[in-house]
Formats: sequence, C-alpha cells, structure tokens
Amino acid sequence: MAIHERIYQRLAVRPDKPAPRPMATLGRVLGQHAMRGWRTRLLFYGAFVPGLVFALIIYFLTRNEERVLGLARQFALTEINSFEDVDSEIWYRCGANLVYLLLGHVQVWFALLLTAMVGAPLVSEDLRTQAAEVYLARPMAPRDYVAGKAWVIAQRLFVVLALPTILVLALGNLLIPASFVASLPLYLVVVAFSALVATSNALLMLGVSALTRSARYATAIWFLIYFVSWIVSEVLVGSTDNTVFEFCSWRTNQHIVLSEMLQLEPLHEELLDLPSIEHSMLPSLLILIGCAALASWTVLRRMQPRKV
Amino acid sequence: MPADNCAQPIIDVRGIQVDYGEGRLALDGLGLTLEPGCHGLLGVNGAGKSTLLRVLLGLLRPHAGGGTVMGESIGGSGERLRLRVGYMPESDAHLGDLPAIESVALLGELSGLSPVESTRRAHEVLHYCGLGEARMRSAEGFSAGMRQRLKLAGALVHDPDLLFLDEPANGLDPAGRETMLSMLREVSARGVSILVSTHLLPDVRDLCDSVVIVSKGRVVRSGRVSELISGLSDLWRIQVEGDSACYARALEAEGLTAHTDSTRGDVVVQCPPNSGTKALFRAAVSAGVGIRELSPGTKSIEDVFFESIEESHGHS
Repeated sequence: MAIHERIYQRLAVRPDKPAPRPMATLGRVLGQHAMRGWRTRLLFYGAFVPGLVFALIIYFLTRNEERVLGLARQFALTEINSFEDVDSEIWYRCGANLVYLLLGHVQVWFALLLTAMVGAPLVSEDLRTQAAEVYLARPMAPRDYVAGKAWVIAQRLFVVLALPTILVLALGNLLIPASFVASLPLYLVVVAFSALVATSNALLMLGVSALTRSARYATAIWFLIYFVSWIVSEVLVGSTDNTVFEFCSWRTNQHIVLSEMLQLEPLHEELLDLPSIEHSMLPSLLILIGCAALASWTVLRRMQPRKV
Repeated sequence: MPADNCAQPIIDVRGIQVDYGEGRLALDGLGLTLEPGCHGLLGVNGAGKSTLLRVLLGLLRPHAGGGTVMGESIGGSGERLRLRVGYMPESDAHLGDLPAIESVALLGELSGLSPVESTRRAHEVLHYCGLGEARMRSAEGFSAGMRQRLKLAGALVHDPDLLFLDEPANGLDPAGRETMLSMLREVSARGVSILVSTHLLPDVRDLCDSVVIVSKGRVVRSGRVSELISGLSDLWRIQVEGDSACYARALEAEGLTAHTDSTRGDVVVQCPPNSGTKALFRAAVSAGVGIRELSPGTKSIEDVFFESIEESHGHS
C-alpha cells in the first residue's frame, strides 16, 4: 500500500517488549551518523596510515636476513650469530616493542583526537536541546543511554587502536613465521589494552561532555584534562623525583598499563626510549576504571529530571 | 469525569508527592483519575504540570503516593509503561543533527520496533505530520512549527495508546496552531488518549473533553469542560458609569468575587447560585456609580481557570 493511502494507521501488531539491545541500537544509528562528517572520516581512516608505514618498514626489513638478525640482537641483549640463536623470548620482545611503539606512541594520539571529535557533542548536545528527555521517555534505562553513547565512541576507538596493530603484528608473523607462537600473547594484550583505552576514554569523554552544553567547551575540557594532567605529572616527578605523581596523568597511566601488560624490559636507549616504570599495573588500572565510573555517574546525574 | 463508566481509567494516581529538595513540594499529595479521552492539564508556570508528566512517564519516582498509568505501576522502572505511552516534550528536544527520518526511526527502534518496521513507520508518521517533503533534512534547520510536528511524529511512531503532550502549540502561528490541534483531534478520534499540558487556555477549549487544573502541586478542579463552564455560580457582566475599580471593591465588600475585564472595561462578578441581583445594586449605591448595562455573562474556560487559581491561593 502506498504511503499516502496508509498514512497513520494504527499498527496491527504493536511492540509488546522494549528494544532488546538499546545500547547497540543507539551505538549503531548515532555511530553511523557521526562517521558522515569528512573530518571524522579523515581521522578514522588516517589512523591506518601509521600501520601502513610500519608494515612497509617491516616488509623491507625482513627482505634482508642480516637486518633481522641485527634487530634481534638489539632486543636480545646477548650475542646472536644465526637464527638458531633467536629464541621465543627474543621474538616476543621484538613484537612487544613493536606493539608498544605503534599502539602506545602512535595510535593513542589518533584515539585521543577521535574521542574528542566523536564524543564531545554526544551528551552536551542532548543537554542543549534537552533531547535526553526524549530518549528516556522510551522504554530504556538511563544506564542504557550512557552505555549506548559510550558504545558510539568505544567501537571506533577500538578499531583505530587494535586493527592497525594487529595487522602489522600479523604481517610480521607472516614474514617471519618463527615469531608466530611467541607473539600469540601479544594479540591478547592488544585486544585487552585497546578495549580498556576505548572504554575508559569513551566514558571519561561522556562525563566531560555532560559538564557543558557546548561541544566546543567539552573538546577543550577533554584536551585540558589530557595535557594539563600530563604536564603537571611531569613537572612534579621532575621536581620531586617521586614517581607516585605519574599517577596524576591520564596518559602516563595508560602507558604504565601497556608496559606492564607487555612486560617490557629496559632496552638499548638508541632503539627505543622506554620510560622506567616503577609501579605495578594495578593502581593505574584502578585510576582509569575509577575515573570512568565517576564520569558515568556524572552523566547519570545530569540525566536526572530537574526542577522546572 | 467518566467518558464511559465501563472504561478502565488510563491514569489513576493517589497522594503523589515530589520534593525537589528546596523545601517546596513540586507535587503535594496530588490525586488524579482519568478515563480514556482527551484531557487538558492546566496550571500557571511552576504549578507542577511538567513534574506530573514526568511522574506519570516513570521518569521521576514520587517520594510518596503511587498509582497506575495504562494499568502499569508508576513506581517501577517504567519501561513497560513507556512502551504504551508517547511523549512530546516542551523543549526543542531534537536528536542532534540527525535527519528527521532517522531520528524518528531511532525512537521507533528504541520502542521495540524492528529496524525495517520503524523506518517504514517513520516515513508514515512524518507524512502524516506534514513533514513528508522535509523528512531527509536535519531538524536544526526546521522552523518552530516543523519542530513541533517532528516531536509529534516521534511521539506517535510506536503507535502509543496514550500521548503526553507538553505545550504542543507553543510558539506556533495561528495557522500552525490550528493544524496541530486538528492533527491531535484526529489522533484522538483514532482511539489514542491524550493528556495535554498547556497554559494556552483556548487549546484546551478547542481540543479537550475534560480539564484538570493544577495549582501548587495539587489538583484544584477537574471535570468536563462543559460542566465546568456551566459552573456552580452565576456570572454577571456589568458596564458601569464611574470608577469600575471602585465598584469591584464595593462588590468584594459585599462578599462577591469580582474583577475588571481589562479588554472591555466591564466588571465581571460571580454570585452564589440563585442569589439575585440585589447585592449588585447595593454595591453600586455604595460605590457611587451608575449601572449602564447588566447582562448574564458566559463563563469561559479562562474564568474557570482564574477562579480555580484564586480559590487555591485563598485556601493556602
């Protein structure tokens, strides 16, 4: 029947139960819409460029056996003369440092920018237009609203963080099959760390977005939190020599978690300038999860009906 | 105000109390029973209309009291209740810069419709609400009237049995208001019950079967519009020669309720039923004015509203 003939007929079968997964529905529809902007698309697809560069480097490196052995020597801290001398631990170290470099030093920047671009308007716009009331007038709980909005950011962050790293790691394993078994735990680390950063960044951004009715202010607050906490932490650690101040920085906490997950060991300085991590992963993990929980609570609090 | 004595009430709440924590009760033991039909919720700003709608939607849990809406308790999570209820808020409430079709379809999906069904339905209700041509555009560029119609489409998409409308004709020009009201009349005729919260009294007169007047968080009067207008008291409209304000004061000294109609300059007086007109002439003598014209006044919904508000202020 054409639309003009059936305009507003009562439904023969009306929905008798709420949407099974409001979080997924919100995440899908709002996520698709967020990706329509050319800036977001440029940033999202641009995040694969470093992975491509890394892949090319690995490809050209592995074409020369001597270069591979030279690299293994750097990680081994012992003398290596042939492939027989390279054990699984050395292959693991090679992979772990590659993951640390790509995931911890490159992809996290894309994640930082993408979080701001996708996440800043998610709650602040709803507060401006009071659209939260429209969502909550549907059969969904406030926690579904928060989870759905977080899902919009988190799924894109996860892709940007995990996918390029996994592809580069897989290419390395393909070109050096001997490294495959030793690298298997790295895949798990990449997935776990990406999920942690994606979730904690997403929830923190929602909390920030819930503080204001302007997406621009939310973006500014997000960068302030990230950079000011980093600078303050560096200054305090530098001036007091007390590494406990490293916990003040959102960025450093993520680095501590990644290094501990990868069980990185100090290397030759010329290869990679790793920070000396003196803490266990647990406090940083608790700080990231705690901040994310506090941010979620902030959003839920802002959703509550107010006096009119 | 039963429309049909056999019908189950769509709303039945008792002793609802909501305290926003500033020492003033937004709802103060409010009780309300409404049968299926179209009802107006009237009250001055801050009377508790929007708070009541939020309580009825299950968005705000009352501190005391309880009841049912469409047979579902308002004390629970409210998710089952909101399946059967559509809500059109007063605020702009558009979903970011989503195109109209996508925002309405999203609301349908969140209400339990499948993605295909909700998209099909979104097209239908947007055509129904007169936004067929504009359905691919974002609400950011819509006029006030189009935004109101978009909100109505969002409220209708899952085919609710009960609609809560908060100021549906707010900000509309006369033509837009008439279009909105005629759409609502049609929706009501299709068997959807409506509760309209508004302070635009003509909307209630033109749309609703019955009216509930709320003041200071309580229901001060409710009933069928026709019954309320016929009223309990006699109404007189008097044109005087002299100081009408002085005459109104003299009438009040006689124990009558009187006010000056600022548009026509008449004095409008409410007298107890069958009390005659002697008191009116006594007041004219004491005020030193002459009565030019004395005519039985027709009570309007405005008179009922102001009378109720004055009564509630008098009681408090």
